[in-house]
Amino acid sequence: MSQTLILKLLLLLLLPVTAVVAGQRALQNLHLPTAPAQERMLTQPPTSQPIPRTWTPPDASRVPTGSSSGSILLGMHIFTETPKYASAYVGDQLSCSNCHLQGGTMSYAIALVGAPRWFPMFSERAKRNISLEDRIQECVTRSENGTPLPIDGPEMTALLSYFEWLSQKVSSFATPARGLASLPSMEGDPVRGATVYKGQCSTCHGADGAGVPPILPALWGPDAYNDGAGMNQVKKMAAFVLRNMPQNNPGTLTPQQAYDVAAYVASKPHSSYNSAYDIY
Amino acid sequence: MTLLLLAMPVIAVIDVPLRSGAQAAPQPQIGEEKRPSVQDVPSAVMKKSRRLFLRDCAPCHGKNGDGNSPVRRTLHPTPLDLTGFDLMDSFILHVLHEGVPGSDMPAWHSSPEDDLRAVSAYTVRLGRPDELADDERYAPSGALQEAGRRIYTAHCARCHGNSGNGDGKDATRYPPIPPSFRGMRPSYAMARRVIESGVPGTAMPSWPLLTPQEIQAVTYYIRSLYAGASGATGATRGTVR
Repeated sequence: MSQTLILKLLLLLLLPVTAVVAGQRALQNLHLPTAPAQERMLTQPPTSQPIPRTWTPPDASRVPTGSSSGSILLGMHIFTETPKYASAYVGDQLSCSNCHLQGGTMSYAIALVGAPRWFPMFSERAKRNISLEDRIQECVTRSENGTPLPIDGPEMTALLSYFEWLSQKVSSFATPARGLASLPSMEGDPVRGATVYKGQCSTCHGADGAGVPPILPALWGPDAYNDGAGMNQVKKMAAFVLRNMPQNNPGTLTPQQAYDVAAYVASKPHSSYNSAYDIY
Repeated sequence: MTLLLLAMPVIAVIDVPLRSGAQAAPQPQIGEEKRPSVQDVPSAVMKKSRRLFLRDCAPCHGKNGDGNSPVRRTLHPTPLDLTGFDLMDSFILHVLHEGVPGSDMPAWHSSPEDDLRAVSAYTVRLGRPDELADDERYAPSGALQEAGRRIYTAHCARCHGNSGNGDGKDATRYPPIPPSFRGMRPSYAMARRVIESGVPGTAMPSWPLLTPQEIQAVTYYIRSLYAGASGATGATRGTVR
């Protein structure tokens, strides 16, 4: 009895000693940075800070099973891989999600959560109230440089189902901020913009602006949006760029730089918009 | 007698994990069986390797090497999930010799070289490769490679280095320094997890703006940097018997 007690006491006494010895041995293996290095670490954090994820990108596995699930999933595919799933109607290599980032759920990147409730909406372009279908056709004929979707076709139905699903409470998206960041009106200079483009954009989009379709979007040329698209308006692209680009360091350009680079991209050749589609 | 009494608790403390580790039955591997499983190798070498792995590595990396161990949550960064990577023999030996400064992975100076080689032989067999099925590809190989190269240059090269050696200009600023993609090749699932969530406890941030397409492309590119043999029938693996 007493021997067990002594053993237990010894064990209690020895445990901290072994812990300290083990700790010291572990420290020998650890190469701590020198003081100046530590200081540099504190004062110069990586510019690629993790961006707190305040939204959840659409996840196909969370689409509810039911009669509409097939349509929602098709809509999600069309939205994120438009040239593949709506190839008959699009004329370039852009996907909806190239501008409506993260499947249309991201603040200040033209989010579409809640979109079905916004229509009918007065359109400055059409000078009348338009429906969501009309607005989709505008995107298809301008940003996608394509031909209108059949109004009762599976593609249009699928996109509407997808937006409806995004906007349901059950999809548990926090409602993102609508549209783009607001910017004061400024003048963009394409010459200054060329410098910004070379330093910040050309790594991915390429010096020729052609991107790598369908992974990295083209900004001009045959694979890009046409000159009727919203992105071809300098102010709109500047607002998009200011919040969302460059993707490895968003938020680092000044509004003036965003205007400059948008003016540079707009000065490059784009396909022509067919004004016959003004009916939408 | 007193000496023995003093030493006994220490022996007991050290002895317990050794014994339980040696007796623990290897868990069946989950997932595809493309490559010879560690349990399928009956030779004395692999038995020794397994015993050493279970004794020295499993306490942190888990019995299956997937990083799931009781101490996992106390370590920062958490132990590497060895099943998510193809690893080169030379890469593992380098890590065993040097440790990973800035993490809890120690250098195994005191272990005999034979033991380290045995453990390395076991560890290379833990990786479960996943190839990209044709219907999973967002683009043809050429586009994936070129897009991946551009994304890598813009996002990754700053720390991981232009050729993936872990020698970017900021690599040594935030230890642990990034591993070389020449020596370790992530599976698509592992790369996606790491890029989406980052690696807490290291400088690897999450990249929430990268799309699934872009993540696939950059993974495709990173995997192309691997210098080891590819697939289950790789020469380095075939010789370990």
